[in-house]
Amino acid sequence: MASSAAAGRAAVYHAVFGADVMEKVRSSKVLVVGAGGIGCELLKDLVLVGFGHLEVVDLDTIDVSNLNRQFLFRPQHVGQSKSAIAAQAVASFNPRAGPIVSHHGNIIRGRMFSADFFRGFDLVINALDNQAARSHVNRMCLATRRTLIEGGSTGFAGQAHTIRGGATLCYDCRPKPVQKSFPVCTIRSTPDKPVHCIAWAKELHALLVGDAPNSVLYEPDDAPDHPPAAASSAAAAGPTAAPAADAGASRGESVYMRAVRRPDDAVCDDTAALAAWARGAFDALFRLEIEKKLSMGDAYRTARCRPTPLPLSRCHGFEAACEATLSAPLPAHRTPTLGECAGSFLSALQTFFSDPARRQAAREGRVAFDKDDDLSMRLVAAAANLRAITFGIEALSEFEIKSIAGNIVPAVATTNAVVAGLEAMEAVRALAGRDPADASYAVVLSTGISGGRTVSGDVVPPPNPACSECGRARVILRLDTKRLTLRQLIRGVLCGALGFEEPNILFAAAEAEEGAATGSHFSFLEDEDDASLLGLPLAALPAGGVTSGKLVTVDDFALDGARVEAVVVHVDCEGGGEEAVAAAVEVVGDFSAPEAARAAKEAKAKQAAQQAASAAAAAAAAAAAATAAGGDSDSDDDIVAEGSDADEGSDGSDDDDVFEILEGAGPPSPPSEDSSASRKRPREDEDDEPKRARLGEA
Amino acid sequence: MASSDKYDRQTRLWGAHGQRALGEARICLLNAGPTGTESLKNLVLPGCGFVTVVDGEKVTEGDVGNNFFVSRADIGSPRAEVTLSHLLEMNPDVSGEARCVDPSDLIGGEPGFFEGFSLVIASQLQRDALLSLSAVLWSMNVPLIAVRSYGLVGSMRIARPVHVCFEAKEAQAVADLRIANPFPALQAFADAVDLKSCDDETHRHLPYPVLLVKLMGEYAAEHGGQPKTFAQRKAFAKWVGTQRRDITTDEGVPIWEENFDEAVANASKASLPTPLRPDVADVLADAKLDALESTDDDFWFLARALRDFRAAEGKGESLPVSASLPDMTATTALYLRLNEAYKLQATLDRAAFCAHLERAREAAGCDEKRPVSEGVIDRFLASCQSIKVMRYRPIAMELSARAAEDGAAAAAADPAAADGEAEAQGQYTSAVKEAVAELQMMGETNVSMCPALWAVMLRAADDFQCATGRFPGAGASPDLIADAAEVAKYAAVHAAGYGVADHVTEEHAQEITRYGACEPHVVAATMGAVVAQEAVKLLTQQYVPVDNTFIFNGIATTAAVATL
Repeated sequence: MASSAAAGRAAVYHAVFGADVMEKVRSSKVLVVGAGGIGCELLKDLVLVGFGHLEVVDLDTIDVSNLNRQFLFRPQHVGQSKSAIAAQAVASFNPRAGPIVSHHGNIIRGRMFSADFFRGFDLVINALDNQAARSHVNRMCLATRRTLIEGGSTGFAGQAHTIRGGATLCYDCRPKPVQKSFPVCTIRSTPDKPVHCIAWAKELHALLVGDAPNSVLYEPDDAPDHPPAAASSAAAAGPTAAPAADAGASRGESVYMRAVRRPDDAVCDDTAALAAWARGAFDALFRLEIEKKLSMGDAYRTARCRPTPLPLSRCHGFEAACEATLSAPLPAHRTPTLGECAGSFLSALQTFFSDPARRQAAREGRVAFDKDDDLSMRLVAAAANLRAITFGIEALSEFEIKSIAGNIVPAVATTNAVVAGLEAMEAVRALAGRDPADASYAVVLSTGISGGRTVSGDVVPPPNPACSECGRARVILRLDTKRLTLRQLIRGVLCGALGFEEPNILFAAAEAEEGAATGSHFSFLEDEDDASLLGLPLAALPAGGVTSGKLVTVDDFALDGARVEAVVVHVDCEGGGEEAVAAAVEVVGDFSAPEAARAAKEAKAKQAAQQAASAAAAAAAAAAAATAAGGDSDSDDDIVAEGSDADEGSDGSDDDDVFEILEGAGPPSPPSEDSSASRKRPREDEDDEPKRARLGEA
Repeated sequence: MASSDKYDRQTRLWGAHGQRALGEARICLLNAGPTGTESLKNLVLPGCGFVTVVDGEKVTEGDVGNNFFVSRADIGSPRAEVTLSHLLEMNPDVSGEARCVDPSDLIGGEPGFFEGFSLVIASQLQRDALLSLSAVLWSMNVPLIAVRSYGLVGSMRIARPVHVCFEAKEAQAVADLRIANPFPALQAFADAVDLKSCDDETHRHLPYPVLLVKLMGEYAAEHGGQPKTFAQRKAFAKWVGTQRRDITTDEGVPIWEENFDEAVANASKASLPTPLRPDVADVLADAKLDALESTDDDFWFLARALRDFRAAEGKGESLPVSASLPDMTATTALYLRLNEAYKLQATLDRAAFCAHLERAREAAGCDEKRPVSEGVIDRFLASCQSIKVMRYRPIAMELSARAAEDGAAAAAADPAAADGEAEAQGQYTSAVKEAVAELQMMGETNVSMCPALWAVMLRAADDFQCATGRFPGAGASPDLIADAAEVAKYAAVHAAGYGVADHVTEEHAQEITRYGACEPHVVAATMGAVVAQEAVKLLTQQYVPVDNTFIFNGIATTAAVATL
């Protein structure tokens, strides 16, 4: 059915890429992960280049705030599956494109997204918006040896590049900035920045209408000396340091707990009573509690900002503001007055509890903070500003607070479109059989900052030898952490599939669990440690257990040198008995303990031999080795094999070097610095390799 | 529950006022091919106000394969109408109109049509039409973005006599705390403090600006003036550090005075005037400020008021005080008190600034009934350390540049004649040469992929088109070898003019000929995104747009900006 339209397009692409490449484009199977801002653009671009077999995965449904850039979606699609609508829309624009297969699911947890699923594609392209999913797809592609094209955007900045295990850097070759978290005492007692007040307000949201016992502000009446162990601190989702230092100060300070206990139905249904309750909560939080802390003397000796108790009577105009905000929210872009904050806080609480559905959800602890829920956002914004005012910290507009509270990444259609265009271009070139190391690492900086550069290209840097993902023996274990027992893991997976004999298991404790009782690691050897643990599911093991994303290191005293790092990914395994759970475990990646041990032994012998040889003729041998090693890099497969096995033997001795490089590499930044940092280590003779390769092409 | 604002994520970049500017924009697109429609798509999605699509073609089979905004059912219909309706479908906030006419006819026959647009985007427009258009728009001060996708190469050129940036957002502004030149409320605060007799709590919580004003006064009294030389300023900073107290807790644990750390860190520069950023200095020195007309943009009146304020109230070295104070060690009460002092001064400075503004407007005969809005004044004052003025080089100047021994290019139509302003013959700029030199400096030995060289090649292709009526490699059964040889001749002339003769090779000519002027969607999509990005900067007067040409090299996925 080759129409002349197809022929027209074909002519364009045949002119620039050639007929054989276009045939590969038509016949190759490509997976697009993500159907959001970049994904929509990318699907359109791929279809118009002529890609014939596309599949798309996304776990999300369409939200109103997507409509300004995810151009395949219309208002009537809000609430529907992104992947399905995107596939449908692209196909409807281009009926000849052939059906695009869509999957509505979580690429990490979905059972169907197994190694075999990935192996079914010639090429994988990321159009994701979060690190966890990127890391996972990166890992799956490394394990299944698929070429991955990675891209992303933040505001006006973006990037796109090709990843192929062993030949280029992988997604995790560069350390990522860690999401910031705050000590609990800063949130509870000594804020000095707006962000601390917003974190507090999110905890207050949980205390008032959400999962109260898990709020940092929660204090059980009967045990005031035992504040909750830890909590994720808001703007900074993520565990924080144990609040040990705060324990003393918190003694007997639960003055507000009684006042914020959720009102019963009789109160909720009586407008006046509910208003009185809300005022009581206000008074307890912003006046009584502060007075109490001030009276305790030492609490603020070290604080940068000392609080001033805030009686409601000081909040001029709060009644009017409360009345007004019951029907219409405050303007989002202006910093509200004190009276408006107080009024908005009171009216938000009243609205929450006068609505029976919300009230019920709140009682069941089901209301999680959602930046897109206007009422939740109002409550948090008002509380954050009141907290800030109490401590003499700058108040912010609701718009600004939403940015921080929701960890909102600015997003704009234009940057996404640039990134998608570059990804589509890389896709064609990957299929054209271009050496991946010769592909481009494009950084998009479209603000005009940095001397007006808009897109700057560089060679994709080689793998970072210190990378924990592509530089070492790694497997991915996809299993049900809530049901698979430690015994099943050891017998079935480690001794069975991986070939260990006496596996020793080690994993780091969850940060929140770290402490005197558990230590920083959990380690288990069957003959030596508590056998009663064997029957526990992995997630229930001490030190926080093995949960999704956990890195578990396994080695073996009986098989010297056999050591593997396994990334555990939780996959729901519904129904079935114990055996079904065991049978559902999937091991992704090639690893065999006996072979690893053998390879380690050989490497050691080789090293010893080399040392002896080099000791004999140091300078001359070094020069000769440099030339000899030059021939290595021609075969990609060789490099991959080398990367996974040979690295194993030198693991221990390399560690110091490794950390130095990691520090040097720093967070994402223009490629020139980065690539020099990650190039520090490669063999000297390879140093010029990428440059030469790229220029050879053209 | 969903967020109610679909523009939420982007207003985080350009603010509600930026969104408003975008919403009021009227944008005209010439030629609704892939590059043009992709550009417009990226402006319709974020909510521009009104779009006009000008295109004289009917939808063909070829469009359906290469343009996302036409479908099979549209074949034979006017392309302007079809693409407009598909584009508007994406965002009900945007309205628009279609003009089914060849852009060149409109430019030649009805130049007044372009009056009143906030921006014109010309896509794939041929050279003579582009030159006429740019002359028309130049005289109206309507910004022009000329964009093209040409095989794997793309280029975008911006032209506008003057562009003003209210918020260049290039660097973090430095707070001018007026320590060397304290305003009365700040001086009064410092005078009310006695560092010798105050209690320990106060001593270690005094905000550092107060400490510095206090100590600067003492230093000046003792030394007969503020520290000026490097040695004096260093000595002053050291001396500030010696004014700490030894404070301990009741248990005898020493307490380190952090406010003094901050004072020492800021001491050595405290007696220097806060330097103006070069861009701001340029604005304040602009000759325009002394020749204001009532029709000029508010920006110029605001800039004039800023200059006058700086000369008068600012004593030649200060801009209006900002009401927002940076974070510093202090008790809440002391911090708030200090902040009150700055707020008071900011209010006074604003009033003085507004008085200058009024005088300037009155002198120019501006309409009293249409004052500069309070919001604009507030935003201007908040970002007055980040203003910038850009003057673009006319496209005619670029295209009239010829080498003295120019032979081949003489065959092309005389571009200077098309420019109503009758620009003098232009010069080749040094931008291409510099781009090559920069690559060489970075250790690149083969610079053939330098994006700027591809701008030279596009010019050669245009010369070819002007001479033959078709692009190299295009048309029915072209002779690729002969075409490439011809292109190479044109390229050699321009390469010599730009000073890069050694780097433009026959391979470049062969590659450009191979493209046959095709417009692949994948390049169009990338260029369309870049165009929209620059359009947002021009329309919101935020960030710094490209000066003046962006060149995309899709062969190596690199790009560069050059002033051509």
